[in-house]
Amino acid sequence: MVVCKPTRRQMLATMGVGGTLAAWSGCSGTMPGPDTTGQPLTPPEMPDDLDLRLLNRITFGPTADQFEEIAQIGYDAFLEEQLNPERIADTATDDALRSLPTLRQPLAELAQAEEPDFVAEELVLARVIRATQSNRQLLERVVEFWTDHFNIYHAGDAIKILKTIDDREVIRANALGNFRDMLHASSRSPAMLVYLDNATNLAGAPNENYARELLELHTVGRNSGYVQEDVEELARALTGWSVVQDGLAAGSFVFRANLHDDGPKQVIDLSLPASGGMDDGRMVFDYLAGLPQTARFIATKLVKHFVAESAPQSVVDRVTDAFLTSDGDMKTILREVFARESMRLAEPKFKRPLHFISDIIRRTGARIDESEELGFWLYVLGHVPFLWPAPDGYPDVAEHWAPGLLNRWNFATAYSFGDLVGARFDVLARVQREGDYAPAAVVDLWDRMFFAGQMPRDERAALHAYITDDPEDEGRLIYESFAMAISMPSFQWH
Amino acid sequence: MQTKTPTKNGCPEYHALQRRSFLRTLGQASAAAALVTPVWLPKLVFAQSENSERDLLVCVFLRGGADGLTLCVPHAEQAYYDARPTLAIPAPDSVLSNRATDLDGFFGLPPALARLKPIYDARQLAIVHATGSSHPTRSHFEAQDFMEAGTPGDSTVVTGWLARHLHSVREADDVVLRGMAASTTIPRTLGGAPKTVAITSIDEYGLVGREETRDAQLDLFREVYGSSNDVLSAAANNITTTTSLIDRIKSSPYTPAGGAAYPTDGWGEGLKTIARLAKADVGLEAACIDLDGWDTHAEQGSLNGELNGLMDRFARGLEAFHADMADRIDRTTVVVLSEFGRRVDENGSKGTDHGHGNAMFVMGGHVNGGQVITDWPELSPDALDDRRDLAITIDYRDILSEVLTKRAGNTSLEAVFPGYAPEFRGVV
Repeated sequence: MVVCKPTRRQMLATMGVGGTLAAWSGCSGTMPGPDTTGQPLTPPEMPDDLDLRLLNRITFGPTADQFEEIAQIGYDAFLEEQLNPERIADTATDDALRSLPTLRQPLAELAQAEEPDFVAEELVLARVIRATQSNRQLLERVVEFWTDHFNIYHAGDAIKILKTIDDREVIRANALGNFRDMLHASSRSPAMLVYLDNATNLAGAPNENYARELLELHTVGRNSGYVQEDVEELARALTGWSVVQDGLAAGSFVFRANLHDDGPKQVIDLSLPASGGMDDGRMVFDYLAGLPQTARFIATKLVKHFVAESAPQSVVDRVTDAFLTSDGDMKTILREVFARESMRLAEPKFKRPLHFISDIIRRTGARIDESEELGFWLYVLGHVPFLWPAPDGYPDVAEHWAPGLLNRWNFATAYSFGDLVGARFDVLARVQREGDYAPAAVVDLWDRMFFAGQMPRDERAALHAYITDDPEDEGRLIYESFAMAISMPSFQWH
Repeated sequence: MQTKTPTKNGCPEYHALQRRSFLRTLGQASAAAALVTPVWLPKLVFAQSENSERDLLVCVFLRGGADGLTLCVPHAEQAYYDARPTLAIPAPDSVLSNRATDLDGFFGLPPALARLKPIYDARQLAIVHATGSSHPTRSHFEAQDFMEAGTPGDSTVVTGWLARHLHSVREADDVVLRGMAASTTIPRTLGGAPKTVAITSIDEYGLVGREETRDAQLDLFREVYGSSNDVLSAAANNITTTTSLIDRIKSSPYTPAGGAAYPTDGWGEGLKTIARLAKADVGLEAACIDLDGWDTHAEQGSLNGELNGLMDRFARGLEAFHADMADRIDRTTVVVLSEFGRRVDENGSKGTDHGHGNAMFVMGGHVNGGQVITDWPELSPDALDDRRDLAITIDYRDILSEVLTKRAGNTSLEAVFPGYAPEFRGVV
């Protein structure tokens, strides 16, 4: 079973089992050997064309219109336009969202909602509609990033309502604004204060939950030098930051001075004098937002998400500098993330399930009008928006998502049926429109639609062979060829 | 060149999937599979010779940091009651109604876990206390990664301890499925494991689409995903080989044995899936399943709230699995882990913050059950780890190493826990 390979020694070393290397070096067929462990994925090749790379990075799947537009106005103008979404008309999306009233309702009205599940479902549907249909694709990709960064789980009635406010006023309002502002907004977000329990963080008996994740996940990052005492001091500084429980203002942020610990505190290098009241929190958020560790942590995460999992050092350095010199201005930071120098170093990223599904829907031009069935697929694929329970957000590494391949293949088949409620695509009509039923022509069609004409040769050949294996079978020619095309390994990456 | 125009009428199969009929269609697919598989086929017989000497290892992970001081209550220690004024479980001799069930005069089970007492009394359940991963981190993510990798403090190891175990024992001939995770993905514990898939339900696992082209599609996937060792290729290969196997298993309906009543949630369904695959004798050696939600910072509810509800689901799940697996409990070992325990002192939110030492549950036919295995460090302030937390006096790798060695045929622990010299504690 075990095959000796030149990389074996290297692999074992990586696994930290070098000590047993000697025992295994004889290499016989029955030796215990971790032959699939720790192996990196081998993604397809990246397209050379930087325009195409950029489109893949700032959209949930590029459409024919976008290919045309970037060819016309060029890389820089296209990026600049996407960085200023208010300049992009998006009436179709606005129309689609109009049927979701809770998106716009003020807290006082939402708080009266008798069905918090309904509020949560509308937010999920809005997420899918925006990802698949919005012309402001970069904004939506960035919103997705910050939604994971400041993750809040749709658990419990209060959060099912309050996350809609958080999405609107914290994430979307600041996604292309300033990191400092977003951090301040998040710290007063009732959904966050409930989710990470700061709402019950009291003088004399602090609750560390929010303080810990604030350092580890939201700002400076793990192993950046803070210790348990810093977590405890930070928790003390945030005592009294809470949420109104009852009455007309229920669900809104409140600072309860009487529950605030007014002693002096020391958080990392920041000294907070006694009797700071709410200024403790304000100062500490300003302090954390300005720390170089925060800039580097956020920059690295952005680069991993948008450029390459390996986070090339030169790109991280440039993005970190942009973060520090602009004091967290998102557009300045993103210009560096998406600069040509960055895109030249881009590596294929494994599509997360929402991205995989959105990509198919966008390239086929289907319109979303219902989320239940799409919700089912996102559920079996493990990627329903706002349903990751831990505060670290949905994973952003290929290893996490690769084992879910079977349901990607099944989604492809279900979608090819044209019966997916809420996002219908008529495969047959599309082929009929082309009017050429030769297997090679059908393969060409899917190649253009899903691979920008760059489908790997072996995948093309295999797909062609699959169709011609039974030339009388129209099912293979039309529907299954479509499903198999989007089930190909190279389509799982972007 | 084909010139005729295909019509939808030519492909009636494609009308089969109607609105929200996905699950129903899968049911039809299994019915169809039953027709082509001889129904007299008693059981799929694979790999008996190799694996019959090795237990099925089931690793339950309680994500979020379960409160070991509630899961297994040190009721004889006053410091516990001092630290937990609103959260403590009353001692067994208390006049209060929600009292603990005594285990050994010192420890007890909270009311929500009392249904595990018969298994404990039958000596098939042991609890290890003041155990865990030695690394001091209080980060969920770091602690989980270290615990699942089996190498506390070394973040360069990306594979899981259970995966390395599977690689380090001889694989039986012709076995197609050695490991499973009852979830939509594979946790770090099984990261890099051979012949391992993520599967939440037998009945819902399989390729949708036409029966007549299924094999051709599987061949296509095998071809394009290749046979390299990378994670995606391995995932594709494991799935393509497993779907045919599962199609055969799901052709016979499943009724849990011993009146087992699994919780009607993903956790219960996952345990049932493990039992069903185990009983199909396909050579399954390792299974992972998570139970989420143990990060009880506020309104913990040890007796009547969130934690109580979680423990109830946990206990009902283990109880059902134990009953269902009765005829093969002698070849089964279940270990229950959580990334860390919780702070000894409760906080002001009637909850507990991240701590260190914890309790582990070990269940199985060859477990030296009916005892709490511990080198109890006590809860007085001076005895605490970092003056805050229950200290760890038994490394969790001691327990896992003993189980792997004595129940899973492992003779190369160095490959599983590199650089660690375990001390066996008599757990199996």
